[in-house]
Amino acid sequence: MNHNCEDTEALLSGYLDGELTQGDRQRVEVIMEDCQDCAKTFEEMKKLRNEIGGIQYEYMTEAERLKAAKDPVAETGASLGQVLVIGGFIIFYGSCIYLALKGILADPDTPLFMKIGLPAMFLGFGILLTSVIIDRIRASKTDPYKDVEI
Amino acid sequence: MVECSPAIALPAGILSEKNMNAPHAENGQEDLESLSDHGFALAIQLLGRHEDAADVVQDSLRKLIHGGQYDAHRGPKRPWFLKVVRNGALDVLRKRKPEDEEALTQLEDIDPSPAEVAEQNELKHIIRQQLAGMEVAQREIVLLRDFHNLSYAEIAEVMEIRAGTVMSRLHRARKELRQRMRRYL
Repeated sequence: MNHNCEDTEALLSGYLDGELTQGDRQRVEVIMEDCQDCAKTFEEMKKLRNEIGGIQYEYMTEAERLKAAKDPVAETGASLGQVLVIGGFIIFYGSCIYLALKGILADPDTPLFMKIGLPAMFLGFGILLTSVIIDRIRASKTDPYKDVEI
Repeated sequence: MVECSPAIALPAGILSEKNMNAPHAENGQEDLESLSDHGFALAIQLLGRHEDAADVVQDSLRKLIHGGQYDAHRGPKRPWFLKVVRNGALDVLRKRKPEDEEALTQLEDIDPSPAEVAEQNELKHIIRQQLAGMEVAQREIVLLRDFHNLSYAEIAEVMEIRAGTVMSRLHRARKELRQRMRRYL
């Protein structure tokens, strides 16, 4: 069959993918029977396609996949909620301590050891709580297993 | 031995047993894991950098899961999802500094010596390198067809081109790849 190998290449590509009309398919089959060059080109195309289908590309890690599954709106809401709860707790706790200390320290009948001991105790508790919170925040940012489900 | 470029590195997370060419569900019921695997593969194929690809796929998954942008009546999920991933990846490519792109391309485009080829004895590895060195438009159409196993109509949807131009573009891209691979075939 009269044909131009260069022009036939596009048809070979379509034939390989099963995207030709019946007429074009038959034409390509006749050409490949007659023309060794076209048959060779087709075999090369087929080989390349098979090899490409087997190329290995890396996948997302489970942690990356889980991160994507989280709802950004819900995440933002949860973070805002956490901030409000912690902030409110600190204000409430601080106010209570302030009022309690104010009363104790202002009372002339309060013994000296209480005037020194109680503020020291509240201060120490506050420092401890703050250091634990800071430690937890640091750990949550750097923990590589935080998204791993057990 | 020199470490592979980001585009061709195969970290421990690789799952070779997965069949990326499995036909996808026609009714849009394809599971998220399969979609994210395909999306991530396409993002890596276009961007070459794991972190960038992960960001793009995460954004795309969010659009699918939380954005409610996918309409099941408009066809299978995979082409829609790959289109979202592709658009995200192209945005990243547009924002990338020319020197970054050049550095990635140089790393990807290293031609292995015959000794290395013999040592690796791996045609797929060479094809991957050659694909990485091709223009994005040519690379993606070959991979959408031969790796992701999309039909011409689906490729047209993903690339937002007319269905009639897919065959000619694919032909040109395959021709380019064959020329690059001539000495190895």
